[in-house]
Amino acid sequence: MEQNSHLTSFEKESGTATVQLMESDGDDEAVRRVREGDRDAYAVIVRRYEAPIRRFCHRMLGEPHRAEDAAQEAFHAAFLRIDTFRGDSSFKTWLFRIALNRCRDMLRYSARRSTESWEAIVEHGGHAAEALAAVEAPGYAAVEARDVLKRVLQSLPPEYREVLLLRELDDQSYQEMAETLECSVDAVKGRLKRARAALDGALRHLCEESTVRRSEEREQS
Amino acid sequence: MNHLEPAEIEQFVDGELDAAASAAVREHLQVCAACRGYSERLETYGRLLRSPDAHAGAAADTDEFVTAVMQRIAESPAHLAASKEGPAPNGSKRTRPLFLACRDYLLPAFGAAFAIVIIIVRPLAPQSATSTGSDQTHSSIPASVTTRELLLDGLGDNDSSGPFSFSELLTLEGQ
Repeated sequence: MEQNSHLTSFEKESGTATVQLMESDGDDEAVRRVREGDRDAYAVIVRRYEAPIRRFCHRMLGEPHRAEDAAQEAFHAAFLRIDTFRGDSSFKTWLFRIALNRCRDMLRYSARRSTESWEAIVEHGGHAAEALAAVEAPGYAAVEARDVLKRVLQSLPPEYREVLLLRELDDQSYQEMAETLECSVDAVKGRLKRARAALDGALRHLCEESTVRRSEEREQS
Repeated sequence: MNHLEPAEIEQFVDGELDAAASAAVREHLQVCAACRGYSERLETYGRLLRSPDAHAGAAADTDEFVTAVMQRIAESPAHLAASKEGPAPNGSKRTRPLFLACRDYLLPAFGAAFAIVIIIVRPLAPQSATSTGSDQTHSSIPASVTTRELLLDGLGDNDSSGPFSFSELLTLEGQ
């Protein structure tokens, strides 16, 4: 029984025999069981991928509550559409594609599409950006550095954000990214290059503005 | 010194280069501070983006998340319809009973066909005693009466309460 202590009440009520079997099974077996009406199998899939999908939605949308909603909707939609999964790509890639589309929809229809102003980012994270740009982050306060990076990430266009997150957050290969984004590998390379240039440029720009601002403050004082 | 293309450094950092190309890039990075700086920045950005934060992947709320998703599924109309059919015994594929197919497809089809028949047959039915006044008016109109005559009659051509009657208007327009 101790082995099942991590299960939800839903899974416990449904019986543990199937769940134990599924924990060691691959996605193909899990998907087959879900198609046959085994809901416990889908709970195992959700448990398997909830962390990367939630993290991706959170970084894409920038708001925890909307991100949770998007992640839940993505898993819900995947369950309803599981009969359409043909196995051309991995199940994880297919799931990420659904989550990505959900995030795109939310960003498209969101009334609060505007991101934080550049001034606010400079105000909050100038020091951290300077540290990042100077490659001092490993010895720097990582929390602050991560915070400023997330703020800058939110200021980038969504198409840059999604390609950066798929690469860095989920460690997807170019081929997997191409399947998730439904484009060619060359297109992935191009988009990733532009996204990284934008991120790096924004952080360097942030660093320069921060430096100028601080020198002005010193002169005034 | 010639610098590497940014894309080459990115593919190196992403592990997308083959062994020979990776070795060449690694060798260059040892002697080129600018390219090494870009490579290190990319690695730093990646590491910071990957670092966990308070909102994602916390083990404590994994159970809550799984429960919330399964709750959504249980409450969704599509799943409710499926669950009424019962679970598949012994993992075999569920077959759809014939009466459910009748309920979902044949009944609406018969309903639609019946509605179409009603719409077609109704105008052809003989006038009954329960016909409305307007129906009686239309049925008493001789076939030889033209639309214009009907209009003139309907608008009260002989009514002199207005400044012009309809026929007077037509005459004025003709002039």
